[in-house]
Amino acid sequence: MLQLKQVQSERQGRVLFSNLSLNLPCGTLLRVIGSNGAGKTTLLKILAGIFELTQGSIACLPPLHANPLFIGHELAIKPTLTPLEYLQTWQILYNCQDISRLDQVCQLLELHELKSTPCSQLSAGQCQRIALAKLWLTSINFWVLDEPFTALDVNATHLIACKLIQHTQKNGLVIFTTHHLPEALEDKTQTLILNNPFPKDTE
Amino acid sequence: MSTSFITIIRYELLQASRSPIAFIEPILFFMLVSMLLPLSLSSHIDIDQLAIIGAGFIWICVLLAHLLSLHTLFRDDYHDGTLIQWVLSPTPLIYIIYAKLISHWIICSLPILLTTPLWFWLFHLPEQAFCGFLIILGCSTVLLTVLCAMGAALTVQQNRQTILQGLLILPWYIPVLILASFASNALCQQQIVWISYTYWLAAITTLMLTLLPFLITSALTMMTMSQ
Repeated sequence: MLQLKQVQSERQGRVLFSNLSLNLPCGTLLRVIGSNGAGKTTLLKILAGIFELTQGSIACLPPLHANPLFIGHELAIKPTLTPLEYLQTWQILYNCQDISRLDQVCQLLELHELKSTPCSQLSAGQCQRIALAKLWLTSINFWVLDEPFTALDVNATHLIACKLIQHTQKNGLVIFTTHHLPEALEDKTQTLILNNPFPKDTE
Repeated sequence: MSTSFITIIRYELLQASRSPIAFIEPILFFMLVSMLLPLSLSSHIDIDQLAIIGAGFIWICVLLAHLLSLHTLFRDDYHDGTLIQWVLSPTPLIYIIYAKLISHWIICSLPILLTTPLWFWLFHLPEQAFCGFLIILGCSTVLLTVLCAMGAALTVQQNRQTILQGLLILPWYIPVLILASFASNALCQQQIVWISYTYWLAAITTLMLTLLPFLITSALTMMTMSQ
């Protein structure tokens, strides 16, 4: 369970959101929506524990893992390395037990033919698939995904959507942002609206 | 934990080998500068004087070569989100930082060490000083790598390479410069006192190698977590 109490965030002297209190039990699929610049990415990074809070508190209660799996706009993919090298390193760094699963996941996400192509030669959608392959490899039950459906084709979008549903059914917690919700997720998500298109100054 | 340590070293070396400019740039710069000195001086001084000047000058070349490669250390990792992944990973960041430092030393300092015979010959340094020189050079490059990493960690948010990084490191490098050049001069004149200078250098290196990675870790965590 993730508990937010009176969370406030400022960015460059502007309040993006304040008095945000939420209780997110395990098994929740939460979609954060809001206009550009409303603070979606900031909220996600706060929830992931990357940004510090200006006010309020966040508590991450077991069985939820304290450090989430975070996939943001910056995919952390090195242009000179191949998808396989990238994912293998990531697996070892994140203590993934089942190393043999990598081949299956590459097959599933249609990455198996690109396994030894440098990432600089891949398209944005293919890079996004590489980053999202972590969803199948990890044992972390708390996922924070910033625009996971960006640049993905219809098939991949559906695949990821199904994976998110499957994860919440297994009592995982998923928080994500997207401007276009896939059909498969329509009746399964809860929505948090950040509506602050013209943030006022703190003074 | 040791697996992830080795994995990071392999990951970094693999990246460097795919874009070999990371290897080549510092060593090329080092060779160029150290080769130009004997050329520009040769007609005016005798060989003994060249050895004395060369033994001191080499430490400035080492510093500049390291400053040149400093920007490759953490900036890409910061801007492409790798640092966020490292901070959130169950592997402690300090392990990753140590692995990063070792791989940076291999990429940037080891080639300089390997060219020692060449500039020994260029500067007409005495042959019996060779092993001593390697020890002093080994110590000071390790120290310089850690210092550069500190400078790189503190300026990781800067988009371009700035003089700020050099200014941050320079005061820390001065004791190294003094000890290393004293030691190498004593070594060339076959005075046994070079050992005591080298002991001091090794002591400072050990201290910095123990303390600074923790400072680098907290600086990088702070830079990643600040909005």
